[in-house]
Amino acid sequence: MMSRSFAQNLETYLTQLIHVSNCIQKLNIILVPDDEERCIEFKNRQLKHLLSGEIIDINKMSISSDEQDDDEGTERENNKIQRDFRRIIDEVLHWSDSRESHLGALHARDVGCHSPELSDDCLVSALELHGDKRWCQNCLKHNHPDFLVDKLNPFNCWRRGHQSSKMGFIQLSNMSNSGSLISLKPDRFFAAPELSALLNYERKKKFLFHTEISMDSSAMVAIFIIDNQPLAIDRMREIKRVLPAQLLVSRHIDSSKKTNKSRVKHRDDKMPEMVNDLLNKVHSTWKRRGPSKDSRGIIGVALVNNECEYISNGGLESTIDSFRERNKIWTGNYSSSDLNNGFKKLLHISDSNLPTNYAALCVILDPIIDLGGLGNE
Amino acid sequence: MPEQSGGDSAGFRETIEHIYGFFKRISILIYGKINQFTFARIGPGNVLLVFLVLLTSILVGGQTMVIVGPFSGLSPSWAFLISLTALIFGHYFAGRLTRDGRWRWSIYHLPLSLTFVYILLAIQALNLDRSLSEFRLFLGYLTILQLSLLGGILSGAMESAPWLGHALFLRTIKPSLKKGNYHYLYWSKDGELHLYKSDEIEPRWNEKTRMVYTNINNETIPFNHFAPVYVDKGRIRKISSAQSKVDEMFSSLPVAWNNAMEQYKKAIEDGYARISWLVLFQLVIPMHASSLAAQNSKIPGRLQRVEIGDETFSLDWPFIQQSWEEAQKQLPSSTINAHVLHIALDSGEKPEDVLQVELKILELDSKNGEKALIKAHALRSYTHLMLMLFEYLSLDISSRSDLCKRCIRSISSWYIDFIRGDFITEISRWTKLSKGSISSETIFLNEWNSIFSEAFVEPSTVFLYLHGQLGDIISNSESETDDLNGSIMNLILSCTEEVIVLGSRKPVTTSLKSEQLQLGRRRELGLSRKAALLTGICKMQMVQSLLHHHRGKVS
Repeated sequence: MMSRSFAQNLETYLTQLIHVSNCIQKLNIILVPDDEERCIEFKNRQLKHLLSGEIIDINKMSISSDEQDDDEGTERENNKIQRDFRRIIDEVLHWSDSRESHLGALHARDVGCHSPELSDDCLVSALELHGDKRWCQNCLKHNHPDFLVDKLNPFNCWRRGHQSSKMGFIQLSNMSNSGSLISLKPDRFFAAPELSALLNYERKKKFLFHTEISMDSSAMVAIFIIDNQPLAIDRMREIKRVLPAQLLVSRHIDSSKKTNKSRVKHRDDKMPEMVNDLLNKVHSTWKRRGPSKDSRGIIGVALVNNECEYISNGGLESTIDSFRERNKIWTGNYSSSDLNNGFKKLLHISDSNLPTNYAALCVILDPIIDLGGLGNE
Repeated sequence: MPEQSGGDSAGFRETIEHIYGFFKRISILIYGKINQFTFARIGPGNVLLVFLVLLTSILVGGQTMVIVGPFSGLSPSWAFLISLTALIFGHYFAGRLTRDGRWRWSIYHLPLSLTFVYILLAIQALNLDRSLSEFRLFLGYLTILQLSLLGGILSGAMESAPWLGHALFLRTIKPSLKKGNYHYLYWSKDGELHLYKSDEIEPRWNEKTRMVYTNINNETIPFNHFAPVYVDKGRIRKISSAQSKVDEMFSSLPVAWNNAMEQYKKAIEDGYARISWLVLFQLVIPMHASSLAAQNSKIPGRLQRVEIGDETFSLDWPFIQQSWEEAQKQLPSSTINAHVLHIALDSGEKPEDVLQVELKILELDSKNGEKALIKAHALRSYTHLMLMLFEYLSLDISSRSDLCKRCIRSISSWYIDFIRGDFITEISRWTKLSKGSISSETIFLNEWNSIFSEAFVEPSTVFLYLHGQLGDIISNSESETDDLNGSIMNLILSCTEEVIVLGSRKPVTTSLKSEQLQLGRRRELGLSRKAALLTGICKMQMVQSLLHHHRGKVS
């Protein structure tokens, strides 16, 4: 059974995560996802159109049943208009350099789509990338992070790439085992000044993460620093305290330490259960309330181990494996020493917050956003 | 015995105080008279003074002290002819002679030179014997000419003399005001309000400044700082303007009398206009500017709560119909880049100083400190903005007037939270940290006009420009300004979202099939969105002016 305080903390954490997602959605209206000149120009045009009220929703071009006229002639006419419109869109997509701000008239390549399934003669608009279609969903299968080559966000497109580093974040939390209780404490939150500013404004009312400005936030990552040492230490301390009281001495107590600890862990270890719960809830929350309707929740999980015996002994292996199998996501297992210092700096992990015997569970959230500029509302 | 000596000394002190008071009043009166005398402008008082001085010197030096005077041996017919001509000339050309500087020699210099000659005759430094008969005759005819000319000017100038107006005012308007139990509302330069009974105020024309003044507690105050009011001391305790009643009083009098009291009437009208502007700047705009949008001459305006001494009254004052441009012509200290409240109050303070009345409006105790200064700048920018929008309401372009009404409503509700919230504190913290590199500035009326002239045509462009400017502040900021950045970002987003939400609403619903209704709805949506854009522009521009050197023009 999950401990109550952990459940409460997790609930609070998820509420904060939803809040972060809402803020990203708001910022998505005004900030550019990519610092490429074309993207800046596109965003300016889009914003100007939005402000001018010149919004044309390509999906709404189809006539709904209640609006259809009974007259068959009118219906035929409407169908003809739709076909003509589609032809115009196809024509526009052939243009090599479209200066349109409407996603329906922009080719998927124009928004940096690098899906291997997108061939040159494929007439796919940027609008078609959105929604429950295969493009952005399938892209996850082909692009994976790789911590060894400093690749945290493997995407280059405007939806997931976040080359402008304005909407990404890295959130650090501590998950520690104090024997009978596993606690979850949010720590620092690193984001660009814009996201940080908005979260700070909300902090006055409800936001609890302590934000810090980071100029390099191209991914959305939640890192949980796992400290599972107290369990073993506390158990040993208890045995050492009980033996003298009963006038007993054990010569094997030191040599049996490892075995004992392992046994205790297997019997009382709540960490896998908590991590499983954490991953599932974060996944479903981000999928449901992420910055885009197309959010896939958690898209990758990596463990960075700094000589943590618990992790080395495969403490969370099965939990992560089963989560990967269930959700078809990427997972990775790294030793802290194998990672570049620059990359660790990017993740905001160092010897001070990830000392020896600790591990970092890096949960990579889907950074997908909607290019429509109106958020997920 | 000691008691008696104490009583004596008290009585003595009282007598001394009475004498001191008497001399003080006399000296103030003399000082006032001297102060009114000026060579720059020639008034009937001055002419009369010169006439009397010349006449006295003639009587002493030309008649009493000499055996053969300048008037001995003059031809009566010539003397009569010269006198009559000068008298008629002076009478009909009194205005020209007194107002045109080129004729000043005939009113001041020549009479004073003649006076000097007669003084010489009086002290017998000059002797008009037979050898100087031609000079004597010339002096005689010249003296007759000069006296007649001055007499003619006096008779002509007396027709329209403002001091005649004073006499008429005291005998006609003042008793009527007293009879009707009217009061004078005095709005001081400090923004304080006082009530005086109508008989306590005695306006007087000042020839030097060409203005009507009144004395209260030995202080000379322009009469146009007063306005006649009716005070209802019943249950509501209401003060209302008596301007229409005073107008009736004037119109019931003959036209010639009205002309004589022209300056007094004008001072009362100016006083009414000044107080109307002050009601707007000091009471309506800072407290409940939204009532500006509901202004309608047929519906009584909102009563303003005012404190006069220890008492509280409700002030019922109609909105001013005059334009600010017209009003500026009447007000003495009007410059383009001046705070309108400074101008309306006729404040003697420096324009950059925070006025005591502003501190009162802002509910601040001290004018020292960054926060007071920033709040004062915000208040001034807001006052100028509201004034501009209020003036647009009366324009014939109905769409603009409609837009401005919407802007007034939304900006006024935002401003109350803005000025009382943490935003200003955060700005002051930052400007303090910047050590002078960031300064707050006021957006003046002409700057708002310039911003709006562009914003009416291209609202999205101006909006995005400001949006970018504020966004840059966040991008280039440091961690010390986290709170401020949050407030700025929230402002940008809330302004943007408001516009987008209005723009994304469907103009047509299934229930609204009528083309006319659709058009109306579409127009309504367009206006709402444009109003939201303009509102956003105003909010962002105000915040930007408090953080940066303000740029009026969009580059």
